[in-house]
Amino acid sequence: MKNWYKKPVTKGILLLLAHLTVVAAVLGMVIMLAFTGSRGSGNFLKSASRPYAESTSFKNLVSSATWDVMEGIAMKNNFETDGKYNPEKLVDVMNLAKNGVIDGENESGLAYTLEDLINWSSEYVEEGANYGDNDVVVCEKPDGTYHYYYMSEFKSLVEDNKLRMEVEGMTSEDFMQQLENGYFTSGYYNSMAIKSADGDTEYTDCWTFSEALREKYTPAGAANILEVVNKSPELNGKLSRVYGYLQNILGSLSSQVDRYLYSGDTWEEGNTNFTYMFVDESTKKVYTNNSHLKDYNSVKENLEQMKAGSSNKYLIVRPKLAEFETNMDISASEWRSMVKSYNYSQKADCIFAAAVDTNFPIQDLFYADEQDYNTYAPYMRMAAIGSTICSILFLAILIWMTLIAGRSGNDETVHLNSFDRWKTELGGAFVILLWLIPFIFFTSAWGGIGSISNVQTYTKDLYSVGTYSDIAYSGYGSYLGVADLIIMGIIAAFTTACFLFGYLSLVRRIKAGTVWKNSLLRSVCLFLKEFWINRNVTFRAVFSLGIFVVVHWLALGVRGSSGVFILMLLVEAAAVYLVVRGAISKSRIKRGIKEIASGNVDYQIPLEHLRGGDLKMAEMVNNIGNGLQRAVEEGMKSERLKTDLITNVSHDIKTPLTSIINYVDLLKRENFNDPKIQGYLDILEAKAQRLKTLTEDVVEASKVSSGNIVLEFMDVNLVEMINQTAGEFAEKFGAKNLEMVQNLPDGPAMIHVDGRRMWRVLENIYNNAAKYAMPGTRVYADLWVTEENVSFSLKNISEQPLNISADELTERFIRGDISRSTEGSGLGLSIAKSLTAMQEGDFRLYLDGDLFKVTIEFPRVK
Amino acid sequence: MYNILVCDDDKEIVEAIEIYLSQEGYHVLKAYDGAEALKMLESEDVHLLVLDVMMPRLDGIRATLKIRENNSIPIIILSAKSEDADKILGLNVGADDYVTKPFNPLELVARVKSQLRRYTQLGGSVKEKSERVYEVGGLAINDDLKEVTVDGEVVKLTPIEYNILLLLMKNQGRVFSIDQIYESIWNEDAIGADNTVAVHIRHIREKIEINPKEPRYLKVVWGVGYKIEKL
Repeated sequence: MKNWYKKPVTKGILLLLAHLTVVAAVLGMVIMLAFTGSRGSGNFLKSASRPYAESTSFKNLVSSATWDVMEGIAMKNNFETDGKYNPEKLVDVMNLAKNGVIDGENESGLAYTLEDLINWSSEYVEEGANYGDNDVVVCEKPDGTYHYYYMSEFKSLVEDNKLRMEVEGMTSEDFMQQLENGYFTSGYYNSMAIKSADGDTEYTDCWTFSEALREKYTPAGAANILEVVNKSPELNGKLSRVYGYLQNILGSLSSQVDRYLYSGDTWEEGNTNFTYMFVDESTKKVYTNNSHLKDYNSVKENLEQMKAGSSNKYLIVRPKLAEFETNMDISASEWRSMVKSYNYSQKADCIFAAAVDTNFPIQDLFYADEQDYNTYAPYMRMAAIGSTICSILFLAILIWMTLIAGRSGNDETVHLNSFDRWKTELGGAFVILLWLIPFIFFTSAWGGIGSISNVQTYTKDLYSVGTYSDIAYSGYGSYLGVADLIIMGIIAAFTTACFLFGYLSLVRRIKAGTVWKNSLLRSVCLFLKEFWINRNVTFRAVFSLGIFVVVHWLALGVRGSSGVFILMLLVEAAAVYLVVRGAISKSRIKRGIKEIASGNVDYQIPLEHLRGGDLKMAEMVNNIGNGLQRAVEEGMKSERLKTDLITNVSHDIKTPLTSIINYVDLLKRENFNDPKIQGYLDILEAKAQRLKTLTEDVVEASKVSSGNIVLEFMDVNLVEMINQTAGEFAEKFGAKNLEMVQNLPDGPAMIHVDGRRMWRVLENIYNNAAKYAMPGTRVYADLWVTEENVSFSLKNISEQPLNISADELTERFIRGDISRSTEGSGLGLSIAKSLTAMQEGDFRLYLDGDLFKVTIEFPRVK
Repeated sequence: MYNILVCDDDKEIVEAIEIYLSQEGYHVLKAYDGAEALKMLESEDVHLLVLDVMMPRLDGIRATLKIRENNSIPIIILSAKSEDADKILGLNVGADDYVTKPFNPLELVARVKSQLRRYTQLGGSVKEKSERVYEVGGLAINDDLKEVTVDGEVVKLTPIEYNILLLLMKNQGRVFSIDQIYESIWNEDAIGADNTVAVHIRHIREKIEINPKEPRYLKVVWGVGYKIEKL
């Protein structure tokens, strides 16, 4: 099949395929997103077709287990004393912040009990940034050290005159005011001093420190933080670091403790397939969830034991990267830094080993994850591959459709549908709205794509609390139902339909070059161009309209002012007058143009009361009318002249022709014996007769075609007339052995014509048949009457082939065939046609092979 | 022996006419313009005038007007002008017949004969007229003798042709349709239109008219019927 690739059927199939591919791709993507989303980082795709134990998901789970275990060990050490949770344990803020260790000792001086710190932390987390609303004043001593006051404390000292401010060009009150607003930083004033009541210079500078925290809990052995800091030479000048550390701790401690308290026994022995062993060489302590591995002295053997086992996945992190051992596809440095990050002392000498029994005898997280992996991974892969293939397929279809858009299989032109003829911008807006409105309606009614994100957020929420509990993984995945998939499929299909509708229309527009040509912007540009070109008119119009509008605005603005109101009325009256006058002028000019267009060329538009442009226009229309009238008169005159010329020439031809005919006749009477001479004379006679007919016909044709004859209309019975005509031609037809077959109605067929001219019409038609019909054939004369019309047709079989069109036959001087008999002028049909037309009739010729048919039709008189 | 004045500015035409008329036994006088013809009429005894229209000095129309001031001889206008208006004008100013150029010599001779006969008959003896004789112009039908004459010459008609002509002659000026003629001649209803009557009419015209294409007596009223023109 030719051009099969751009047939409408192909287009339909492509359209269907495009929708199917998009829906498939989107659904694949959604499924992938939903599941990968629900599994956190359990990426099914990266592991491709490998077994679960080698999958990313497995690795991630081992990693998170390691994190949990490490954190668990660290927290155990921090929050427990002698293996028991101890809320009274003293927390050294600086030590905890720097080393992550809580050892119950107060070395830096700033220490709280664990319980206080936890309560403070949860309040801090709840109130967030609002917590930092305690201002501290920092005062610099002459020796370069600092003393800190709470703002209220400092203010009362100043008010009690225990401290006096001496600032150049500023009162003490103003300074305090600005200090409270936190205007100052160190070195803001060079020459200032704060003196004691005795007059000694106490401090050389002071400013506000605004990042202090509200203190609800008191440090161990002191009333507040500043007391500790002012006392301790180590902490002097490090106030911002103190507060920074404290904030870090407060920000994370409460959740950490929560995790420690409520983490449950996920990684306890017997609950998991994950076995770990953490050996702290410095304290010679072994942390493990396997009772067989507790002995520090048999660490080496235990490690070997963990490595053993055919279905074991293991990893051993040692202080040196080179000693890292594993049978998993993981990065040594990553794991080393991970282990170290929980072993706060970076240099600490420790070993971390973990092993997972990949037979998963215990139904733990790994087991569940494996089940999921094995259940969903194949689908995931299918979805991913399918989605990719469908996307590629869709792109291919899109390219194909782009290439054939606007083409049909039949020709090479670009076909635009009615939408493609919309203005470009309107079309674009329409498509966008077409998509957006149902889309918004649909998604809002359905709950939106949000239900996918709901799945994700839900899992996340669970994750933060529940990573350490078994409920975390119960019931995920059921949030993406079949109904959701169907709805998303519908949305995808609908979006595709809208996209293709707009896109293909755009492509067709580009192909047809109508993107810009048919744009609204272009119309506006063209209008502005027209506006500029016709600026002498348009500016005037806009100017007068502007006055009108401005006056009205003024009237609106200064309501109540009678002057403006009267002006407004005047302007309105003027506008009404102008509009009405314009309408009258327009109507008058319109009537004039209508009259002239309908042939009344001597109509003149009355010019009185017309002004300006209207007057000019009316005058121009009148000029056109005059010009037309002149042209018509000249045309008629030249037509008359032509007829006169032909008539006069024919007179001049007739006189010598008379002599020729007469003398030829006289010669014939001379009885020449030579038959040749008789033959010549016959030819002369025939040609002379032909010349006679010709001159007469030319005159008649000229008169008829110029309308230069007077018609006398009367009611005529065409049936009677056909009979009369048939009688006149009975002998002529008989001579050629033509049989006349008449088919006439019984009743009269009345028409309103000039009887003599009508006879000329019929005579010419019958003469034509008598001359050119094949001898021995039948000639059919049919007359039939309808409600409106009377029609007559004469049919005959031509003797000569009719190698000519019907139109040419009625053209002057053209006859059916050049080689036909030489009698007649060839004007008969032309005259008949013109005469018929003059009598309001219709004259038609129909030629089919040798069939020659004349039909004349007149309105019927009832 | 009738004197016929032929007046045309074309000498060859005058001579040709002379030949034809001489052959019929007429004496031909020749003139080459209107003024000359008027002079001839005064000096000679002319019985009929064949007059061209377009001539130098005095044209045929004005010449006819002049002649008719004091003379009633038959005038046949012979002109190249063949329009209806020209014919009407010629006949209205007083011509008795109008022949267009180029003419059939025999037709001209026939018309000359016809005009002369009528002129002489009208001018000569007044015949007794029976009631059963119907006349129009030179055409007469005598129902007693069952005889039809044109300008005194007997014309032979078939019985049906005779009856049709008689019907029309009895009702001069009245138009009969084909059906009416058929019903009164054949005495039966005209069932279905037929051209029998039309063919007979044509035959009658060929016998009684000098030029059947431009009938003088039996006229066709197209689309209505036939009639004998009242003259």
